[in-house]
Amino acid sequence: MGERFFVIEGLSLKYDGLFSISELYKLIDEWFQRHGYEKVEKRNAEQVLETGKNIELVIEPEKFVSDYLKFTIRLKILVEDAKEVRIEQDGIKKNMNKGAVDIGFQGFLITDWEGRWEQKPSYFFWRTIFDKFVFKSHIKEYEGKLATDVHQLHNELKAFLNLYRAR
Amino acid sequence: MTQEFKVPPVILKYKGMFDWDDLYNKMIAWFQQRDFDFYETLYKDKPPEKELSWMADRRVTGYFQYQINVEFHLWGFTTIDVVKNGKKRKMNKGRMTITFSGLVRTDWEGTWESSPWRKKLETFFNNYIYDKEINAVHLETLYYMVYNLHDKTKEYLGMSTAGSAY
Repeated sequence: MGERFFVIEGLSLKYDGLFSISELYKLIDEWFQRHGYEKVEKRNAEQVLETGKNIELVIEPEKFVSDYLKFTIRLKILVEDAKEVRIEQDGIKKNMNKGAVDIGFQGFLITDWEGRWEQKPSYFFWRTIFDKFVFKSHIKEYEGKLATDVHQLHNELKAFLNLYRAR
Repeated sequence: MTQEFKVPPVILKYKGMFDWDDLYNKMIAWFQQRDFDFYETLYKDKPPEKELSWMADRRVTGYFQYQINVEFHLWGFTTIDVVKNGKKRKMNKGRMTITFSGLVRTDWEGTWESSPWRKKLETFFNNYIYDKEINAVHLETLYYMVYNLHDKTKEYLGMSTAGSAY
């Protein structure tokens, strides 16, 4: 695989209270689909304990910008002690979850994702020169686009969780 | 020469209560509904541990074939009695890891294997003529089929992250 440029690191979102895990998952899935990302679920582990559900989800959807560049957003979602509760909202009974959720965001841009420029040391040399000097402004431009994507997703999830807080 | 193009594996981990017979039957039904020929290549039952391997393949054309592999590993597998909706029924409890993977196979009938010239022709065919079709059509289709099965399994297990926008 080619060179990986970290664009966003250390961005996170924490929430404790009432929310719906399935709606949160659906929102994330739909957001990625709407923005042209391919689905990649790296880890999905769920533990159903007497104290509640523990979920660890790592998703890394990819967007192929060109034959040379791709965006990857890594989301690490941890849900702890999520209990099922039944609430009544506007006269309608709904199943919800009560617990803590922690979402970590990372965004990285990968050049030469097909590894075509790694087959020979000379190719690798030319790719490095190309990335550092020729393609530099393009990489900066794409880094900006990826950062916008990550912040947009972060804001959308924040708004979604805040909506529960406001209820 | 048969060539294989792989779909990266997807892993699912679950710990809790589930209905093993129901999960087993529903997953087999998923393959049957999609015209896959289903084979159970391994069934190891060593209580409280279980290991299963499934292989299912489907003929797409005379040249392309899809294969989906599912591997189960269960630990601490026990049967318990529960009361659900006022009815007593048997359920299972344990920890499991399910690995889903897939591959697209070309020349699965081996018709291009009859001479070295034909083998070279097949490699040329796959690398230059069918290159885009293998990646954009077949691998993509199989990739989302594997994800669909993964998603249905989450649904059968009653996991919170079931459902997919894709």
